[in-house]
Amino acid sequence: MTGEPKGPTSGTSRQRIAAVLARPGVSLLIFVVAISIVAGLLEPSFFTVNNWVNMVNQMIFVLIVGIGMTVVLIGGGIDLSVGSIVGLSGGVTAWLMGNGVPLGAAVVVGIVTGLGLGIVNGLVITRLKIPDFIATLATLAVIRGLLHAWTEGVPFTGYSTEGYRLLAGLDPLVWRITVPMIVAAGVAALAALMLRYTSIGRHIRATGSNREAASLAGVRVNGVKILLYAGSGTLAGLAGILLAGRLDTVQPQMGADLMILAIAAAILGGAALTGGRGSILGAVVGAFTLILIQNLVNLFNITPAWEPLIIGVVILAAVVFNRTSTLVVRRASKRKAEGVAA
Amino acid sequence: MILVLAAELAIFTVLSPSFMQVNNMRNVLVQSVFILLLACGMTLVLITGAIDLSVGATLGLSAGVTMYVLITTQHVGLAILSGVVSGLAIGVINGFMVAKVGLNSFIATLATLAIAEGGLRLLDDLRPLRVTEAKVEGGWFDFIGDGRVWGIPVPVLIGLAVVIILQFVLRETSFGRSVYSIGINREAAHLSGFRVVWTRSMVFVLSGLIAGLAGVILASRLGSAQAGLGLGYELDAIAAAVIGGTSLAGGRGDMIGALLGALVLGVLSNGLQLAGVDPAWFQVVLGASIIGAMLANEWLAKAALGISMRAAPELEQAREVDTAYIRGFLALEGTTVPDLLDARLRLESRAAALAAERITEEEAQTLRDLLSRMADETASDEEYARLDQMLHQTIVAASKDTELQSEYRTATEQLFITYSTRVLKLPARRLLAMSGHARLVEAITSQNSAAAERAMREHLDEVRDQLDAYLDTGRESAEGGTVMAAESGR
Repeated sequence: MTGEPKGPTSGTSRQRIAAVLARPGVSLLIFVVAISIVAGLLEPSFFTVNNWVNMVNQMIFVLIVGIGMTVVLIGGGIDLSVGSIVGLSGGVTAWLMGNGVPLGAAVVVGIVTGLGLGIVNGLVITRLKIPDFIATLATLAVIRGLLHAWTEGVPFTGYSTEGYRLLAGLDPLVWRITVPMIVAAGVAALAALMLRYTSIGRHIRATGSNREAASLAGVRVNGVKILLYAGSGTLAGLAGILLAGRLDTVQPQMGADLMILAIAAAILGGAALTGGRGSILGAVVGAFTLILIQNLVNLFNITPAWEPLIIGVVILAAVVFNRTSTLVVRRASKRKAEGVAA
Repeated sequence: MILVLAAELAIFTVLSPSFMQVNNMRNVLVQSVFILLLACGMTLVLITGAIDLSVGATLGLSAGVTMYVLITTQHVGLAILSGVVSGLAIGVINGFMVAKVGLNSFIATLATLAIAEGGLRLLDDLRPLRVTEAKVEGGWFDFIGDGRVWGIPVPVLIGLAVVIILQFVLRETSFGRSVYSIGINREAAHLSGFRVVWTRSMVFVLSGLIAGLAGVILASRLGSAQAGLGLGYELDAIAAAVIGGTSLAGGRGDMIGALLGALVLGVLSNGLQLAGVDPAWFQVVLGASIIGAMLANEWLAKAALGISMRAAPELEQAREVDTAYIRGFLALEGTTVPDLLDARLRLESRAAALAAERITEEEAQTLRDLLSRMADETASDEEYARLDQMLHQTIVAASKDTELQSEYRTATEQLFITYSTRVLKLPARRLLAMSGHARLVEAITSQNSAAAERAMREHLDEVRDQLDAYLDTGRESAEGGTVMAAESGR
């Protein structure tokens, strides 16, 4: 990576590079690029537009839910119920569509479902004073159970319309660009701007780093908590609607795996379970890393039995790389600082 | 949580007559053992402030390895050993990755979750993992899962043994102390001389080992293993630990809590089944019941302390709640306010004397800074309370006596959490304590050991008076008594 410092003049640019590398997600991005190049050399079909559009399409669900999760984690919470909210919101929209409700109304009701469930999470945590983990674990079971009881184990199918196909990205908008891509990009941009430039963003970070201090500083921490879960629920609802449209079938377990993927994406991107830390850009890179690994496993026709094992090993490799590069950068910049001081 | 458990038992006994039968109780216990074992390992890891998501998959892998070795070698002992070792291996990888390499435990154990899951899938692909494939006599392999000693199922005995051993390790050994101190403050634990990397690895190794053990028991009970076995158990294990009072932020929790948490979940799930809850609605009811149990825990604890929330006017009510809460809290921990204050007096006066001899210039500066920040009258009460706590901690740290530090931490942890933010709010308390603090810092920074010890005693006696007045406990003896009690070493 960065070698020995050559002289005082090379200091500033070197330090600038080190600062960029130390940002969350950047060294992970280097890992992703390196893996992509190797994959491209071994398997030419990796670098096709088709494959990349595919990856982006797969990534959208993890990304949208993962952004909500990142913000919740920054605010010092954790939302285990997102996978269930994805399932139930998707189910509500699909059922409404199947019963002849117009697309716009069905989508609004689906999103409001997610919002409502998120607010319930926030209220259970702040009013009933139940730890975030237990509260959302309980609502995970309740919401998933509701979908099971409602569908009675029989999936909703055959509700798709032309509009829904367009909305869910089965039909492209322009060229290969789909509506969910634009939605996901918009969500990411809004979340990043909110965290960076608004007082709400600062309040969220303050609440996550030190709840008591934030409260003393006048932040309404309970309000922030409710807002976090409402946001996370809304985004999960949005992802649920897009997923239901994409799959054209809602089975009772829909979205269940998204919870752990969303947390993994957020944490790969530099968020911490202890709160206060995390970045949207990091979450984007994190989500992409997870999807890339799955894509490679598919692309190389690896026997399904080996799949989880390889995914595990590559995730481990990714975090080890992320960790060592951070250490190398930190050590290099420290050495630099000592050099300047001497 | 004991009260919640009792309430659960009572409710289900009324709802379904077969619930309280010996057979069913045995069932509940055996069914809870797997979550209990995983929750024990999980609690250890959580106390250090990390998390282990791999336990469920490790349990599955261990069950698979046990079956596979049993089928291929027909050797029961070897099969059991391989099962346990496979769990240990995952634990070692986790420990190495988290403690040594420094990876985030969530991601590292998520990766080993996938690796263990993949391992089981590969074994399952090689051949069917069923005990009928092995041509061995049932004998001791069946005994592990289905045997009984004095009418108690063997898995339950194993579970209890693990709880007792780990509880002893946590509470009575220096390893246990390092587990807690790492969870409270890793940096401070390192400075206090605890072997942070070793302890952080060992909790994962133990967690993996226990998950391996649980896998062997499950394999014996089921007589088979298939891909996907154990997935999702990790969430139940975390839930059991958290219901039992363990904090995801680290530093809190114990095995008794894990035991209660696992039983609360196990009884709930069995009772709801027996009560005839529609399977389709089972998850809904289970989830709602978890919230109900958490709420009931709070209400029952308050009710048991005999608080009437409506009788007293607002201020009086707040004081009553505080009093009852602090007393009740300490009673649950098996100690009392005077006990804790005695311990604190003894520890801190010694710490002050030692600190005066060993203090560094840097530490002395820290003390002066803290003091001047405390003197700022515009600081909020909470801010002041925190500074106060930091001042005392700095003094104890400056004594450079690790034994003293860890004892001090155990003795004051509960007290600080509960009363520093509430009791210290009284404005008079601040003014009074300031002169005490000033004398204390003056004595320590001027390296006068005897004066430092005396100043600390006087200061803590004041604290005791304040607290007694607030809690209205009515002290048994005057100041001389407390000093004597302190000198007799409690």
